[in-house]
Amino acid sequence: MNRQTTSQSNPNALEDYIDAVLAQPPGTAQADSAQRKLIARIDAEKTPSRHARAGWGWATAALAAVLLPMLMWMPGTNGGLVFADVQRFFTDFETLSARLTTTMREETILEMDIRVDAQDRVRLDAGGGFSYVIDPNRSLMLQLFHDRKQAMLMPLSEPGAVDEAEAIDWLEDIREFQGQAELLDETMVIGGQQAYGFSLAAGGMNMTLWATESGQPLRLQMQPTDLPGPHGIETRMDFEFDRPLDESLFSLTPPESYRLLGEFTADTQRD
Amino acid sequence: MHLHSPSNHSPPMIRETDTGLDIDRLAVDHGRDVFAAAFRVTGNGAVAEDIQQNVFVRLIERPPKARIESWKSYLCAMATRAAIDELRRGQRWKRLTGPLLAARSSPDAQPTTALDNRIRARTLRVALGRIPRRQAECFALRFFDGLELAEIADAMSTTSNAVSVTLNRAVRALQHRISVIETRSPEAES
Repeated sequence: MNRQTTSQSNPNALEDYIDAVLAQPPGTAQADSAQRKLIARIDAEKTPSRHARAGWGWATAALAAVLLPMLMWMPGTNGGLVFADVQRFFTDFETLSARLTTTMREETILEMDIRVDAQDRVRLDAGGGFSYVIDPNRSLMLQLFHDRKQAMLMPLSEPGAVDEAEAIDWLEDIREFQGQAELLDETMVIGGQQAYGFSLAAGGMNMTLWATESGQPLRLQMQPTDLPGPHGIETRMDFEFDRPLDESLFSLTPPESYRLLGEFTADTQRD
Repeated sequence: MHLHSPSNHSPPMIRETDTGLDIDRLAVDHGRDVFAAAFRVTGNGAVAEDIQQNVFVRLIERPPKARIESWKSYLCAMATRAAIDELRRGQRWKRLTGPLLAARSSPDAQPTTALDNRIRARTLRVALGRIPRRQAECFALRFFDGLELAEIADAMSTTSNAVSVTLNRAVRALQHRISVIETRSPEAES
């Protein structure tokens, strides 16, 4: 607070109270998180055709970004040997490609492609609307808004701000995850292959993971458990492992025709 | 303090287009200021996020007709106004839900001679929610956001003199409210 400004027109009696408010500013990570949500919200508001979907887009992208590393690092459960085989696919892959579909009362409201490479870099593409590239090794995320040809690069979190980064603290989510996988009696056929289901509950979601007899994951179905009322929302991910992926997909450099918003660049981060 | 941020006294920087304001640029330049302004009044990150988004959505839906001299002041004033409304709604809710819930939601509001910063901040926010809205808005813009009198006057469509008078009234009202809060029991406060 500008002390001189304060003391000119503010009785001493209130200064301690004002200083108490100013002494508790929002954390950097909290402000970063709010800023990201703001940009996504503005994008959704300005694009009528995607108006109803974009809110889900951000939520689902965040969910996918949290869920994938969670699955990759999920600690041992009581599901037996077969589920351990399933987990191994999520830790040993060269690349992982997934098609994510979110439906509400059986109507598709979002489709997204998710690709992960061996370095755990993630790319999310929501049709022609937007793409995110998340590089956990450099703690950076690139957002591309295709219709307006704009890009935004931002740090995933600030050093020293881990305690405040509740909403994006993947590591904490992973460490605290205590999943219990239960093998279901029912089976289903996915892509011509017999699939066996495992039921898990974590992070406010009921999840069913379908895998082949050898443990290769084929599909993950998720329903949120913390939304009020009958919402009929389901998210489905269909997996494909070790498909060759172009390195350029994970580049943090925006395409040449895109305008970079803000002053933060990958070079800034390296400095 | 954000008063020293580079964009604080920048001239109007908005690129007018056929479709209106450059909302993206406004969000990048002032989004954090708006969030911080809402946070200072409410002390709640989730509420501040909602307010931050609503400020910009409102800007998209109803852009100002008059020329804006300082977008930072204008947007912070919008956020502060919305945040004070949140505070007042909270006060109303406590009055409606009775002493028990109010006491439970404000366990620290006990009379004590050694108030720590957290309790002082909470006390000031409670008091802000109980004085007239315009006084609360003036006070927050001046002492939380560090705006000059002329900037506040511009943001509130009034004169610097009027702001000065309103601020004096706000200070007196807050002093009274705080003394009441600190001497009464939580039950009496509800």
